[in-house]
Amino acid sequence: MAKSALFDNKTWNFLCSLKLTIVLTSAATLLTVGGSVLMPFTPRIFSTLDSMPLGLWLSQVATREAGLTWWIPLGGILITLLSVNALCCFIDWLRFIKRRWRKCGEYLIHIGFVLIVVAFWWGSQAGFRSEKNGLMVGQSKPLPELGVHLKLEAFEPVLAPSGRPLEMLNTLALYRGEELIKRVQTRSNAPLLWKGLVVIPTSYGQTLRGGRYRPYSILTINYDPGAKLAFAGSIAMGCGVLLTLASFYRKRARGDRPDIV
Amino acid sequence: MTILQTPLLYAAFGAYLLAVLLYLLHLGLRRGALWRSAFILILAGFALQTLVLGLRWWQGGYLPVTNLFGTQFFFSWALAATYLYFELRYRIHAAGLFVMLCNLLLLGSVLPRSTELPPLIPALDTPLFTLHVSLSFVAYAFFAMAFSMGVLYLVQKRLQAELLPDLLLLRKLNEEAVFLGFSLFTLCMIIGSIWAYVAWGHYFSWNIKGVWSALIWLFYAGMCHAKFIRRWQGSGYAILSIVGFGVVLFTYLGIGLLMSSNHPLN
Repeated sequence: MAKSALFDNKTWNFLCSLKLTIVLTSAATLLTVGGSVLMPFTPRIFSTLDSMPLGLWLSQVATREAGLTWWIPLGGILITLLSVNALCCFIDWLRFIKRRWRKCGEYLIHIGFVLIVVAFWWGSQAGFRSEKNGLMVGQSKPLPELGVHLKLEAFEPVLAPSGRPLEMLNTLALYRGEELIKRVQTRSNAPLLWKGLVVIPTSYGQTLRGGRYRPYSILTINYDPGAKLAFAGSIAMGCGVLLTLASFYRKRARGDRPDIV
Repeated sequence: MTILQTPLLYAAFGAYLLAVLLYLLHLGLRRGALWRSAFILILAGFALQTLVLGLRWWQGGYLPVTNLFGTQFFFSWALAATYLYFELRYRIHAAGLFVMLCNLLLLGSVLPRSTELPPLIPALDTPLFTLHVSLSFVAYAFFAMAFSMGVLYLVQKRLQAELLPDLLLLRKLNEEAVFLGFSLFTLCMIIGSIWAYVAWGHYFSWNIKGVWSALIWLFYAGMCHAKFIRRWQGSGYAILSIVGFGVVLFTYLGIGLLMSSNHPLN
């Protein structure tokens, strides 16, 4: 095979190397072990991580507490470098796919990981999260970022004998102007999903209106443009795992041992 | 049906206990009849445990892994299944004793607890939950087996004992346990992420349990690469298997029992 200047050099070999993978996974693991110890002791900083996209959290919260949060952006850099390493390995595999097609399971896992990391950064930068949105039946909430508005058309909380909410049956509709885009009845594990938007009923409350209590639904409204890409990455990774398992048993049946570098 | 479960659980525990004692005797006496009897007892214990699991599943209408009793019982069942997998495939006999001891500890600790099934909350009423939890515990069981093989590898390297499998086989078993555990754990993480997305609206949670689960995945992903590097083969890999299982135990029990997480065990 003819040598290519782009690929057959020290830099490319370094980017594709197993040793780089091990250094990066080890560094990210050790960093996260150390950093995550801080999480239970400083909830005022870290408990807000799930309520906003990471990009916003880094700019609004992490910068004020840099001494306690520096490990998260550094971990992000290490994971990004690991995904570059995985992408280079995948490209290198593609170059020799005729000889190495039996390894397609392993490399599907690699590309799945890359897609998930890209999707995560995309969602962290371009997404939004909004919790505790109270809506009464008939009320709407505009979502200007997406040019649509969300309307609660029906609402029925299902309560346990103790009064604890068990299930929130909400009929939610998305409109662009007057045009209905989507209408679904949501319940546990069945949210409204539309182009990266996910609307989840989380609880309910009551408010005094016109001399009587009226219930309202409390919704979580999140938007993650990378969600579909992350799902595609997950599918690639899942298929890769199943293919790798099949390949593993076939190889073991033939008595193959792992390559030694 | 609940009344039937307790004697079945005690019978399974008795079968495992006797099997472990016979394996220990086999280590000293090297009699084929001893390991064969031990193996039959483990098969019987596993069959009883599977029956209890099936009964509880049928009774509750869901995989009963929603509290500490349920998860420990399922983990113990997964450990026995993992042991049987390696025993049937490689005839490891007493080399898997650690896993059976873990199994005894787990099963022993659930015996005094109530076998009553808690009502299933709607958020957990999804096949995603069943798959996520079952895959995670089977993966944990493989990581426990990798730990066991790692310890034995280091012992065998020092003692060169005839009683234990040779170093090459121990290394192979360790690598296989790590690989299978990692594969199942990857599927567990994928399914858990999809479930988290439809349940909470985001597929990765910064809750301590989510962070440490990602950490386990990263650690074992690194191990799956390390086996191809000569310096990390053998002893290095054995030490990593031991450290990895420490991380797994902390994630399951340490975080589940001591910290506030989105995967409570109580």
